[in-house]
Amino acid sequence: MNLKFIIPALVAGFVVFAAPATAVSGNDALELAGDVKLVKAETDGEGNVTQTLVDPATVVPGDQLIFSTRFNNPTDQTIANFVLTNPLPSAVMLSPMADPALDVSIDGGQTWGRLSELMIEAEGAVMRPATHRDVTHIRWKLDAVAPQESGTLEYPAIVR
Amino acid sequence: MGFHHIGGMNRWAIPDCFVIGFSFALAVVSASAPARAQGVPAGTVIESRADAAYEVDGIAQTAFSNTDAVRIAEVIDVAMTPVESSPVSTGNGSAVLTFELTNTGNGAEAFTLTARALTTGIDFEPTIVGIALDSNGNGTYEEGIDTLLPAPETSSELAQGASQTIFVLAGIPNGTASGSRGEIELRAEATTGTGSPGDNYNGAGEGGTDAVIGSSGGLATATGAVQVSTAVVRLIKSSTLSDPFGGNDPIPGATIRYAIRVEVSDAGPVTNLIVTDPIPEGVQYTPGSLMLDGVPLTDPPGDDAGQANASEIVVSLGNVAANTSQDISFDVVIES
Repeated sequence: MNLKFIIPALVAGFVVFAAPATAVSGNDALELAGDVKLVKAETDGEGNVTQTLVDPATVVPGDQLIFSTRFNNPTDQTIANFVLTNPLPSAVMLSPMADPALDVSIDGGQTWGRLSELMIEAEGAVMRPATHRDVTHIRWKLDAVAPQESGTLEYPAIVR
Repeated sequence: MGFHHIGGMNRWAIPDCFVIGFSFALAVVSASAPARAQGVPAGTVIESRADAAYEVDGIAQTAFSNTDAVRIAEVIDVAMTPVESSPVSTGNGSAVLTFELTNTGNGAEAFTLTARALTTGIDFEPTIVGIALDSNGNGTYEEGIDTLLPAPETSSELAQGASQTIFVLAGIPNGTASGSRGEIELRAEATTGTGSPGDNYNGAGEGGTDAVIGSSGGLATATGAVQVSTAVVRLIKSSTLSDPFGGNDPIPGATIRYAIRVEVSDAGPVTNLIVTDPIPEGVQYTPGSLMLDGVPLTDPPGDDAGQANASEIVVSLGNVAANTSQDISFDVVIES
């Protein structure tokens, strides 16, 4: 269950993704449920800001959204080398509030790393450090999801 | 179904009603306050779907989540600026003030326009003749082309980020003293609505989205000034006589140097000022003697500001600022 195994597994996952007709088995071992919430900030009389998550009925540029994916392993088997990938919709950018340790890609999922470690080509073929605006994908890796285990993986984004 | 918090740096579990209490998020929140102007166009649908790869008993599997869709609402925002940076000068009883209106929201929007004369801090109140759009986009009011809007005066429907030039035609009441200054305010209000930032007009936005009032409140005003300028031009003519014998007797052959001082009053400027002086009977113009501020001008027309012949001198001074003066001189000889 180390990193070396995870990467080939991910590549295989993308191959299947590209050709769904050949998807492996009918095994519904894993359940995924995506959700999105709007962060609503309210300031009380003393200037304290409380943020709550509400259904995104009305969303405008500048709003912060929380995209989440809830996973559930309803089976009696352990799920191994679990890699969950979230493409960022083009209309949002990763929030600067996001965990700096997140595993992100700035090139459509080709290469991955912490945002602080990634460089991107700017105008004139000059490389510059990547920013939250550049992130195209986020992924999480879990070595194992035990039987009956569930959880939620999420990231904050800001509407461009 | 169990529910566990998942350890580790990049993952955590939250119940749906999770309340975030991040104190460190404050700066981010203020920097990305809702209803920011521009941004993603209204009606854009944000779709999100996660995919997973994993193994069960060493067999690779994949899974996809459902797709979440969020549609972006319309932000109502507007900005307006006066185009003229200094008062519009007029001497003929009317004036045109120019404004630029910009849709700073994220959806198509038209704006109702209202002009009024300000009543404080001014010398007089111009009348509002009407409001016109710059129909051909050349930035200049053209009577007959840029027609006055019917009531309620309304801009074109402007796309996200688009601007339109607006003209306000003002009248100057009779008897308004030269130098008097008046101000006109043009106000634009979104046709969808105005209000406090964050106010929501449900379903009134582009494509049936909600319309949310942005930081401008959905309205903008700009003020332009008009100044009455009935400039006075004074011509002061003098002559100096010198006879061939070193005296100043008006005898045949004596030279008369005429000097014309041109003064523009403090209600200037004046535009396209031309000074013409006919050569009197009984004298002849001395070729090449025409000067402006001591600098010789040639007699033929077209090559400089002056021209002269046997019957007249003409000097074109162009636009002359207030409180300035210029000196024209030329010589004639008394005929025998």
